[in-house]
Amino acid sequence: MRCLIGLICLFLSAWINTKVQWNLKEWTTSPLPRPESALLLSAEFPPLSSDYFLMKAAIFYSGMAKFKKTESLWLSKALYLASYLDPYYFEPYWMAGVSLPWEGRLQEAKKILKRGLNYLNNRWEIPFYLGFISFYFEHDNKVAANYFLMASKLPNAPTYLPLLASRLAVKGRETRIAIAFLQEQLKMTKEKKIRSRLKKRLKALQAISFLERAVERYKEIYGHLPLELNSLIKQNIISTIPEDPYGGSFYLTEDGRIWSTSNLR
Amino acid sequence: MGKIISIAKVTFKEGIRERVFLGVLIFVGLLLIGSGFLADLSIGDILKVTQDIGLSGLSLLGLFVALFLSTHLIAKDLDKKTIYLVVSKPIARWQYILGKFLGLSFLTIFAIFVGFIVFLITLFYFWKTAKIYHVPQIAWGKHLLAFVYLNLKMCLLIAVGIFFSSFTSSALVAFSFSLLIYFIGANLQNVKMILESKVGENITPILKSLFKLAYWLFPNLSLLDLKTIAVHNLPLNIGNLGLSLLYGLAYTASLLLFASFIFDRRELN
Repeated sequence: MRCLIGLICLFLSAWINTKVQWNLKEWTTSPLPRPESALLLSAEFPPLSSDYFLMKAAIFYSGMAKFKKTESLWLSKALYLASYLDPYYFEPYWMAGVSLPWEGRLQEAKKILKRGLNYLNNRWEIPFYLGFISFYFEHDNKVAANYFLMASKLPNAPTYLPLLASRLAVKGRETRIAIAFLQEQLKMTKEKKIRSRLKKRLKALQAISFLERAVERYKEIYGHLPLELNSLIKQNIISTIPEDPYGGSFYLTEDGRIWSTSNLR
Repeated sequence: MGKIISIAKVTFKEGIRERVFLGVLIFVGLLLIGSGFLADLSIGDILKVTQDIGLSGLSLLGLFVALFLSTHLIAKDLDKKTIYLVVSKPIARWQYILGKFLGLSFLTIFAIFVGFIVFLITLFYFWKTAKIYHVPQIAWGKHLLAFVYLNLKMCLLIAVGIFFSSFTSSALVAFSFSLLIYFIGANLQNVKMILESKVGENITPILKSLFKLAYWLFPNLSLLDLKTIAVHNLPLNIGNLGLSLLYGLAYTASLLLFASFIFDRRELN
């Protein structure tokens, strides 16, 4: 009789457990401890805590379509925490370099990566990410060239890095370099959801690059910039304007650059 | 010496017979085997996560065996009055303490060794089968070194357990105190790092002096913790390693000497 009631209670608790609403977003974005508190609570296991916070950040990043300001702030804090708890762990820096700048968290990404330079001084990727942020987001070619040069001297750095550093002075190559950057990142991850995010961004940048080349061609023929993108179709330079995978539409800025109403977010 | 060895042997056998010992060993064994699958939840270098879980699991295994059994077995001797059988024989009390220490140390080293072999086999398997972009080199030699230092750390903790058991009769009290010492000892280096960082500027001088005192008094267990060096294959500082070894041995010896001093003067009734 006691066993029977025990079994019933067990089933009841299991049933209640299935009924409790469990929200992935709530679980992942629960408040984070201060890095110092997390370090002390971890006692001799900070690397294990670092793995935990990085896993949380990765699950969160791959599960969200769009980020609110508070959410991207949470992501940056989680990655900082992971890198603080185990400063020799490369992956938090990798994620910070790949995800944060695109969500508008430039300063946070730079803070994490600059700290990484002190600990992982043989990984070319860290100065490479810093250089990319300076170049693509902050348009500071001088700083970027220095970072790329620093990266090119480290073991296993891609052979094109010194070339990249020297070519930075040439304007209008931002998109093509960003494409090369994303392709490099794609090679480095096998995680499906993160790959699909990177691919989506790559597709948008390829569309922008395609339109930029069309605008250059237009300028070569007519000697001035087109007034709008539709002029490219009217003059038979391209047949259609590609779609923005982020749902916005591409437009021509006054200085002849291509951007999207979605801001690629 | 023969008497000490006999006590050590009895302690070892007694420990092996504890069901808790087997339970912990099986639990950690499963954790180690499953570490690769757990690591798969992460991104990028999953081997790093496998090593973290494995080495932390070994540390927990040692910690549990060392602290639980060192406090439990002596309290049991006192509680069941079996200690009278020992002290009525021509055995000095310091010999009893040293025998207990050696027996418990062998037991803990044995447990960690079994765990370490399981860990190495699992790590090797996941290393060979990992499908990741950049398969890192595993620093096997440094893992072995981390294993040696882990054992030294556990010997130190056994001495802590014995020290507290030498003047308390309750296993729970001795265990709680030893756990507290472990927690402080594992954090000394962390606190030092925080105090030396920007956050430390806001901390009052009194607290800083208290910390300095604690730094002298409590065992700095981080010195014997080579997990990070093994996992990230960081360069070794031979001088520091030698000093850490001496530190561990000297601290353990001092605790055992204090324990035997107190135990000699203890009324057994």
